[in-house]
Amino acid sequence: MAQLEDTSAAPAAFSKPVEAPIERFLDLLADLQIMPRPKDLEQNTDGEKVPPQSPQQFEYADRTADVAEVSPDITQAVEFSSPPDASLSTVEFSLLPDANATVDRASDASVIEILEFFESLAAPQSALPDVEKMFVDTNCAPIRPLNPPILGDSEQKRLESKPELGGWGASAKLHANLQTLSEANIENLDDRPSLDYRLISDSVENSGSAIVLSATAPNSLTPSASDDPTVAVEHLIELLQELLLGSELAEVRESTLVLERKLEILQHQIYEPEELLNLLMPIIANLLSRKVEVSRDEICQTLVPIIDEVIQKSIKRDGHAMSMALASVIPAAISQQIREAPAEIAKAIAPEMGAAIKQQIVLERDAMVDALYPVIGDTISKYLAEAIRAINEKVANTLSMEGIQRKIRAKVQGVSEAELIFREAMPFTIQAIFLIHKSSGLVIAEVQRSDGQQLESEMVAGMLTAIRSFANDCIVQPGHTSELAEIDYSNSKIILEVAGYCYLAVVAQGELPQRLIAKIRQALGQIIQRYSSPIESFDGDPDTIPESLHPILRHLMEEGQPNSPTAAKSSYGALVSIGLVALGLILIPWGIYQYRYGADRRLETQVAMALASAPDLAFYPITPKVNQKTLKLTGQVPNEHLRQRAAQVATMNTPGLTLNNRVVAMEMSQDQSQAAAEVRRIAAIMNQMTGVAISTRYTAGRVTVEGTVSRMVDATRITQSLEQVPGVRSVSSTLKFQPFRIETRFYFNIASAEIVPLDRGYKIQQIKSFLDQNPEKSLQIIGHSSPASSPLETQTIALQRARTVEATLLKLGVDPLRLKVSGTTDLPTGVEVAHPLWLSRCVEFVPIAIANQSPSKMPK
Amino acid sequence: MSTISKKICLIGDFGVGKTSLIRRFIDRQFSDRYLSTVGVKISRKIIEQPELGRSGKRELQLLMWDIEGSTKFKSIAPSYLQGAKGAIIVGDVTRQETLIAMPDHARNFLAINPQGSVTLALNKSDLVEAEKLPRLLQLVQVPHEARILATYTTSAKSGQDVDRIFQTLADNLLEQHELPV
Ligand SMILES: Nc1nc2c(ncn2[C@@H]2O[C@H](COP(=O)(O)OP(=O)(O)OP(=O)(O)O)[C@@H](O)[C@H]2O)c(=O)[nH]1
Ligand SMILES: [Mg+2]
Repeated sequence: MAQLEDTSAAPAAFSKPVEAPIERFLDLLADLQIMPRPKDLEQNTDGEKVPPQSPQQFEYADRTADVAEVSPDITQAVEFSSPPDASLSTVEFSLLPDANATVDRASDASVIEILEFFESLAAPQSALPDVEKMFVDTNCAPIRPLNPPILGDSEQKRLESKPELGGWGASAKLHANLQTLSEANIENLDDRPSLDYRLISDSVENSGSAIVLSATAPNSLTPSASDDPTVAVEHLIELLQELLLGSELAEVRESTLVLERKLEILQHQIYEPEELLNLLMPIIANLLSRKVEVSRDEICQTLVPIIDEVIQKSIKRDGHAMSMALASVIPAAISQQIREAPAEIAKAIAPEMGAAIKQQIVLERDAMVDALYPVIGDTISKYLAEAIRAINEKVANTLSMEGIQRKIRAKVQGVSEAELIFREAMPFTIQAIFLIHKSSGLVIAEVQRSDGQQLESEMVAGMLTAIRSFANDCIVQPGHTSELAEIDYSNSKIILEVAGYCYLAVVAQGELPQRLIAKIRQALGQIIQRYSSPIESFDGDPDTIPESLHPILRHLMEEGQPNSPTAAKSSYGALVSIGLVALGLILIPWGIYQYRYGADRRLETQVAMALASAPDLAFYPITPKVNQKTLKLTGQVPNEHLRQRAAQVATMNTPGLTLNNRVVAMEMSQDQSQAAAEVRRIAAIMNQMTGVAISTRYTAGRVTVEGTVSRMVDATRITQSLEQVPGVRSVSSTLKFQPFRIETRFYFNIASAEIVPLDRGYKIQQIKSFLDQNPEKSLQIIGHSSPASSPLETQTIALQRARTVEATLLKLGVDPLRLKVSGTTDLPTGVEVAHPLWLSRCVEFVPIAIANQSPSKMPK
Repeated sequence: MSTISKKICLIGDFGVGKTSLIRRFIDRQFSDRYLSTVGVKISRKIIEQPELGRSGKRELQLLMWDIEGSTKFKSIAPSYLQGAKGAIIVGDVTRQETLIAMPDHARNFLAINPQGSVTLALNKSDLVEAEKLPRLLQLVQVPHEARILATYTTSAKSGQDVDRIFQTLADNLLEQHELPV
């Protein structure tokens, strides 16, 4: 961007005509800070200063300086050779090493130097014709001042984007010296900047080497130029002419080629490890043997880095001998190391320990068990024995008072009884309670069990505080407030309940019941309420804490003690009576309810019977419902008279009950045919359900249902739906319950679709009779194959099996429309992967309702 | 008679000898092995103060938080410093950068506990010649800081001034405690 701004500013400077080329040249030198600017030349004829190098350029140079130490040179060279206007640029800048060229080879300084030499020969050569032209043109062409050189965008990018430049190293020096300078300057005099600055990478490509940017120039130029500009230019011209007319050029080229070839061979020898080895082998052996004689120490030092390799190699060659050699020292070495750095040994073997132990268990199980038993066997068996005894006891008194109590508790708490038993078997004990100052970790108050091991309260409190801080600092994400609530370790835990300036730490063993946690919160609440100010200003002096705080903790402690056996015994009687009372409280209302409930039901049946036996009401669904002292009647009757009649019959049989007559009198004068149609419609819908095959008859408000259902609920549902049809007064059903499954299956041999002879008679007949008995049913014939038993068991074979069965049935005169076939490689219903494979090579049948039920298919 | 408890912190760069100072103070022992402290280690020691105290409180329990040393990558967690009444800032005379860091540690501590008292320990004094010490002392000058009680050149190895630095701090803590609020 900055570069672009620069460009826009530049043209003004370009167009300024300048009389004296030499002066310009000097200016240029000054600009490039190669020589001081003569005072009188500082301003041109227009009194305008030659634009100095823009800051951007320095910036650029700085940036590239990171890329490689040679970069400043590159920048300079680039500046010189850049045309005044980026659009005129034909300058090619293959500054970068060939992508394939291995850059590190450039570190071979000698190679590079040779190359540089070639370059120095080649570069001027290619530039020569243009230089000549420039000299010719110098007189007529307007001389342009050197502007802040602008890099073509692309060049700049390439320069920047190739950090590999660094790989050129110090050896790839880019000489941006006076020669380039002069060339560039000359070029600037010309309208068509065409100085070919391509770096000759082709010639050296084979050797895979780097490229040098510029030609080396005679050193003599610099001092003389600074002494006297005129002389410098003359000198320059001389030099160019010399180069131009040089007759030795051809010779040089030839020798170049020879050199190149030699170089290649050399490089090959150096870079091909094999070749190099061949060269060096004999010498090294010789050297070594001599060196060992002379200075053992040095040899030792050189060998140290590879000694491990040597050992490895010799182990490979003769592992046995090596083991023998080392065997005697290893035990001593290990014990020495254990003595000196046990941690390191532990660290080294720890990862393998698990695996080793496992292996050992596989090899010598009993020995391992014996070895570990004293340590853990005891503990575990003791623990388990205790737990099991406790659980046994609990189970044994399931029907005891405690058992019932527990059942109730389980219900109330919504946990399983088993869990409760387990919790009871694992009693909890509060061991200690600390009230801790939150920031300092000092103990404000504490209680500990007198019988147990006493904890060092200050240390515990301090560590807990540190752990809390750590958790809050490192684990809780910033912005979130969460608290460490519990620290668990094996069977013990520490519960932390945190308030503003203090927190309670409860050290407990076993599973703490929820009730106790609530108690802990309650206690902390109390403490804060009453003692917040002494707690806040607590400074390590226990006397500043009121004595009345301690009972709160003590009380909490007592809550957290398990009922000791003696305590349980003494309170046994009390428990029993409490239990009895509780049981009574539960049983009595329940009994009353049961009694009432029974009485109500009896009354209901009584009323229902009465209603059913009244001939005029018998057809109408009227439901009596008795609840304590009221009798509710619901249902439908065709007219108000019958409604009254129902009430009358009901009250007659249940004196003393209040009647709530909800029977609705509905006019049922609908068209009979309408009702009949509705009944048919419902039957059709019902027939869609699997396992349902029914037919209905409607005559004058009465419906008769026949057929089969596969589920009992369907029968009820059918009757209910029909009863609800307006105009239907009664439904009589002769529905038969017939579970709708055909168990019959045909089994096949592997890759065969042929029905086995045995199945051709009886089994087929079964299917046929099913179809005969259920004319409203179709059959889905599903063929199965079992790819697991053979690759030949494909879906095609499955389908073929179904087809064979279908064909057999068709031969027996079954309506083709009632059979559907399909084939699948899935397992048949009820067959699982683990079952024998032959079970999967079968045909199964699934009855389906015929979708479009036409009257013709309805049985008459 | 009852025991007053005070929390103090040992702060400094890693490996300056905080743990060693505490060990020397409590156990009268020293080890050349370096086991870097992870997190915090808390130790305590009861200091008898027969001559001090109007209200008959003569026992001070020092709870010493040996906090893991700061490194280039990890500074000291401020929450470990909370609630401390005193601090011993430790530097290692053989590592100049640990001495230069000491005023910073002191300032950090006082920022969290403005009422706290601080002593400075230039530790491992056994490792440099005595004549070099005055110059090193200059490195750790914290100007005009009233809460800095004293600076000692200590050695956990020889035991030089170890008790003294703890005692100075303890005396001051009790004094502060006795002051009417
Ligand atoms: N010679 C000498 N060595 C000491 C002295 N104090 C500590 N050291 C040694 O310095 C090393 C570090 O000591 P620690 O006490 O572990 O240092 P620290 O400050 O606790 O280190 P971190 O816990 O990592 O922060 C150990 O090897 C000590 O033996 C001392 O006064 N003199
Ligand atoms: Mg430590």
